[in-house]
Amino acid sequence: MKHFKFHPVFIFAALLLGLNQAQAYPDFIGYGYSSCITCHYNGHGGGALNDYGRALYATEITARDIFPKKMEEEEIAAQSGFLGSKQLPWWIRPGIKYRGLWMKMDPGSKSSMEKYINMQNDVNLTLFADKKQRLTLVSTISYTGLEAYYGKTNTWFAKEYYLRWKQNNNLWIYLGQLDKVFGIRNVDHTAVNRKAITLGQFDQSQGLVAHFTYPDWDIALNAFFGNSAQEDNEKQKGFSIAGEYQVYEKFKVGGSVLSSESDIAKWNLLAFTTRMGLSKGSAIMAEAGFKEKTDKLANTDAQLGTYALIETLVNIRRGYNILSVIEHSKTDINKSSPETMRWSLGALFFPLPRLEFRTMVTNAKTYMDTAGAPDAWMLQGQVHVSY
Amino acid sequence: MKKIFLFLFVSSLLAHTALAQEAPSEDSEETPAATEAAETPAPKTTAKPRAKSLESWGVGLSALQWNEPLKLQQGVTNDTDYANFNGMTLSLQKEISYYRWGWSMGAFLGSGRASGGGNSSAISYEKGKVAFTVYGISPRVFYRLSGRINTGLTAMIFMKNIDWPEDAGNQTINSGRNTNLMGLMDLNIRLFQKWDFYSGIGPLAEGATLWKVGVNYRF
Repeated sequence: MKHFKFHPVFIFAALLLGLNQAQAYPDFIGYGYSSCITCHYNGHGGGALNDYGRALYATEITARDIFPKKMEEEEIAAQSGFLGSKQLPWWIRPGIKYRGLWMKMDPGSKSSMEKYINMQNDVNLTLFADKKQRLTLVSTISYTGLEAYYGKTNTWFAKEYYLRWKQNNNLWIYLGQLDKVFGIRNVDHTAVNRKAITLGQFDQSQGLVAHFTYPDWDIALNAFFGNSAQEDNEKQKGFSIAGEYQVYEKFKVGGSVLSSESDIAKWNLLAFTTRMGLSKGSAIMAEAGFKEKTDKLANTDAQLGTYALIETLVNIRRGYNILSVIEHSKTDINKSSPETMRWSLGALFFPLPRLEFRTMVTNAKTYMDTAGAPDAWMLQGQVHVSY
Repeated sequence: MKKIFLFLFVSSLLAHTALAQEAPSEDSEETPAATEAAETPAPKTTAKPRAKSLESWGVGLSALQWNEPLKLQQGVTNDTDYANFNGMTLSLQKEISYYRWGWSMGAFLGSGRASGGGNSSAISYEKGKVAFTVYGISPRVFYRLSGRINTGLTAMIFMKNIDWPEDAGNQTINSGRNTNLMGLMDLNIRLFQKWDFYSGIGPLAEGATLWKVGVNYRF
């Protein structure tokens, strides 16, 4: 029952209100796409889009204001390839992904600071051994600017490279360096369920993933051995398991565990996840979990903390969305430790094919047992370009 | 001539009898219902009239977080620090929902802990886990974006009770106002038939922002 009529005032208001970070998103369960393999070469999301994902991005996610009304969706979909409507040979699929972030900390104060970061500069190359794509080589070469990639800035590096073997429709095997399997892989790598728990944008790990997929459920088993760019003593070696069950259409619940260890730190993670489509394009998803970290160098007791994230995407009209992300984390629940809370509210727009804009305002609160702390504010804007 | 009069007489009697047969009979055995049924045209397929409004009650459990300036006074020295409030509220509300919009009226009661101080160089004050209580009303008006999503404004009119203990003699510690009126910009999501997820954020005072996040059970 969707009866909202678009008005530019709403968009302007959303911009004024300030409006965090997105790719092809787990929120798109709101469109009925509950499995990442529909749009990505990686069955757990992230990385390059496949042909279907590109077409879907162009025809369902992105606004079609620039196209004539009489133009068919099939024609728009046909233009979503790397070279537009020009077909590439079946055995190769290149791609380019850029994400830029402008951020302003504490706007309006004397200590206000702003900067622009080239967050993601990826060049994807996917090669197929056969037309049915049973054996696929997926690779991403990336360039990092200010964000250090294991101590190096302004350098090219091999972000991910793996072989994907489709044994059948129910079993996919991945071998190489890729993202670890755990929780909801939302795009904001600074969220409490990503970077803070060894699942950031540079935390790909060499390993093996076996992903069993069925219509109502899926489960993935991952053995990993660390990133090739890390020193040996830094490499987190361990395993993770993640699964989801579809309770009914557009409603999934899941769980994940991870246990890994290096010479420096040991991590144990447990998470519960849920994703629910609300109406076309709108969805809510949540992840809540425990994180236990043992600092082996300091020889201290393990810290058992908690984290939670609730993300709501509300589709206003095709290509235009309001996004709300509420995060909570506590470093140690057995001792007095600060609770940090962050609420980001803003807009997520796909106004043109291959283009995404985000504007967000973030209010961060810290609650300590012993003293007061001021709120922190941040404005941010993002531009994503996908080819 | 007699034949003519006889024809007219017989014709008149026949005509009278015929007209008499067409007139309704006053002692008819047909029931009114049967008559009505006989006169009612064949039934047509028509849409059910749309419900004009839906009413529901709800009980809610919400987390409240906000910050306030903490006013410190020791002798003739004044300074300002930060105070953070973290609590839970229980609420009862009545909601009226129309096709595109709706409104609700609710009352809430809650308690929690507050922490303050620790940042002033002029007055040494630092306290944590100071108990507080709140109670108030929260009328809301909303626009329905879809059957399961609505967004709107919630007014919060509430009383806050807290006694900041002294850290040293001759100190007066206060934070914010006891009676507060504020507005929240909110989003309400119908998760299940009877369960809603509510989130709202708004300015409480200059430099102070309040969050309300929770669930409502409707009945």
